[in-house]
Amino acid sequence: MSTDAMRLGEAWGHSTIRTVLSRVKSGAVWICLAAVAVSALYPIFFLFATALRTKADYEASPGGFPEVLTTEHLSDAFSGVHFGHYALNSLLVVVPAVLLIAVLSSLAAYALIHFNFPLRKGALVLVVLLMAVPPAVILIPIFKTILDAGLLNDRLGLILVYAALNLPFSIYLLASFMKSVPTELLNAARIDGAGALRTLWSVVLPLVRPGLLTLLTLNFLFLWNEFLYSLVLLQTEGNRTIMVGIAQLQGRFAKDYGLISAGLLLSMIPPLLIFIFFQRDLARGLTAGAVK
Amino acid sequence: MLLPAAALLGWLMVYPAVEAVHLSFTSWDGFSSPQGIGLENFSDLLHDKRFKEALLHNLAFIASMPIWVGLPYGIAWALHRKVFGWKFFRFAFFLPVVLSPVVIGVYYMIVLRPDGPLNSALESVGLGFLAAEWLNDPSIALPTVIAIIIWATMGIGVLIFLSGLSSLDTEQIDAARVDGASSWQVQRHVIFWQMLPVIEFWAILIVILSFTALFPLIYTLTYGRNDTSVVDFFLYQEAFTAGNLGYASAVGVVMLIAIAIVGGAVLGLLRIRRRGT
Repeated sequence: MSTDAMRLGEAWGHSTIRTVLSRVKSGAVWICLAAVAVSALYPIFFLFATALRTKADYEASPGGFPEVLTTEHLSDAFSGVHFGHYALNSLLVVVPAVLLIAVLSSLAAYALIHFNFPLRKGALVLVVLLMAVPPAVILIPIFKTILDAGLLNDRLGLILVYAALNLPFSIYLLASFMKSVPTELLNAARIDGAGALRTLWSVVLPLVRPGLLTLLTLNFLFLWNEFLYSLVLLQTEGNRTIMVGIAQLQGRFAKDYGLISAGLLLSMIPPLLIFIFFQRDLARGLTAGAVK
Repeated sequence: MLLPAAALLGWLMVYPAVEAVHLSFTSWDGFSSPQGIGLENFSDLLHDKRFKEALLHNLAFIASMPIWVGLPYGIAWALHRKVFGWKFFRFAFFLPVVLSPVVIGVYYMIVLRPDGPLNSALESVGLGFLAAEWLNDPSIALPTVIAIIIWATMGIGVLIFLSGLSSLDTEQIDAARVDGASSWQVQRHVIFWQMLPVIEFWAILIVILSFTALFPLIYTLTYGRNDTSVVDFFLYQEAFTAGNLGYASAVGVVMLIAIAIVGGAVLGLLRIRRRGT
C-alpha cells in the first residue's frame, strides 16, 4: 500500500511540475502578446496626449500622461497649417477615384464572369498580371503620360491614375464574388426582358453587396493613405493632399510635436472610422487570394 | 461593358509598363524630349555605389523574413488557440494596418528621437544603457527601420495566417495525434505543410513590399540618411530631385527584375524544404 501511495505521489508531483511549466510557458507567451498589443495601441494614446498638452509638459515626460492641457495645437492645425484644407484636397481626389473604381470594376467583373467573348481567358490573365505590377515601377512613365496629357497638378490626373492602379485588384475581388451568382438567376432576368445593365444593377450587385463594401472601404483606405503618387502628381500648395502635408510638416515644424500630433490625429480619423465600422470587410479584402 | 476599364488600364497601366522599358534606354530630364542612349543607364547602374548600397539594404529587409513570417504566424497560432483575450488582441494587432505609412513614419520619428519617449522611458525604468540614437546612428538605423516595417505589416500577416489556420484539414491533424505524434511534431509535419501555400503567399508579399513599399517610411523616418536608402527611395531621388528620369526608369526596370529573381529564390527555398523532409 505504501508503494502505491508513493507512486501516486510521484505521479501527482510529476503532473504538477508539468502543469506549472506549461502555465509559465503560456504566461510568457501571453505577456509577449500583450506587449505587442500595447505597442499597437500606444500610438493612439501618445498622439492624443501630445496633441492636447503644452510643450513644456511634453518635455517633462515625453511619453507619459499629460498634466497641463491645451487646445492650442488643435486650433493651430486648422488656422496655421490648413490641415482642414489638406484633408478636403484628399477627399476631393479619393472619393471620385473610389466611385470610379466601383463603377468600372463592377462593369468589367460582370462582363468577365458572365459573358462569353473571344479572349475572355486572356483578359482574366491580364488582370492578374497587372495586379502584380508594383506602382513604384511605373512611376516615371505614368508621370510622363500625365505630363503629356496636361494633367500634372490637376486633381483629375491623380484621380485617373489612382483608379487605374487599383482597378486590377478591384476587378479580381469583385469577380471572385460574382462567380457565386447562379447563372439561372441571370437567365431568368433575361427572360423577364431585363437588359445586361439592368440585370447587373438589380440582380447581381445586390447579391455581391459584401464584396462591394469590401471594395469601397479597402480602396478608400489605400488611397487616403497613399503617398508616392500624390507627392509626384500634385505638387502645388493649393491641391496638396493630407499625407504629403504631414510628411512635409516635419521639416517646417520639426520640434513642434503638439502640432504634428494634432495633424496626425486628424489624418487618422477616416481610417479609424473605417477600422471601427468595417473591420470585417477590410479583413475579407486583405486576405483575398491567400486562401483558395 | 469591359471597354471603360480596358481603356483606362490600357492608357495608365499597360502603356506605362511598356513605356517604362522604353524610357530606361533614354536620357530624359523631364523638360525636353527623351534621347535614346542604348544601354548606358544600365551600365551606369552597375557602377553606381549609391544604387548598390540601396539594393543591399533592400536585401537586408528580405533577410529579416524569418521574423517577418514567424512573428505573425506565432501570434495567429495563439489567437487560433483562443488565448485569454484573443478578441481584444485581434482588434489591437489590426490597428497599425489601417494607418498610413506616412503616419507610422512620423510617429516613430518622434518616439525614437534621442530625447524622445522611448529613451526617456528606458531611463526611467533603469534601462538607460539601452537608450540609443535609433535613427541617427548608421549602425542601428537600418535595423530600426526593419523593425518598424515588421511591426507595421504584422497585422496583415496575422489576418492571412488566421484565415489559413481556420481552414486547416482537422482530420489529418487528429489522425496524427491518434498515432501518437507530439504537438510539436503535429505542428511541424502536418500543420506546416498544410499552411505552406499561405506562407508562400505571405513570403511573396514580403518580397514585393521590401522592394516597393518602403518609400513613405524612409522618406519620413530618415530621408535616406544614415545608411537607410532603398531602391524605391533612390528611384524617387534620381527622378525628382536630381532630374534624371531616364536613369530612374532603368532603376524601375531593375527593381522588377530583382523582385522576380528574389521572389523565385524564396519560393525555391521553401519548396526544397518540402522535398527534403
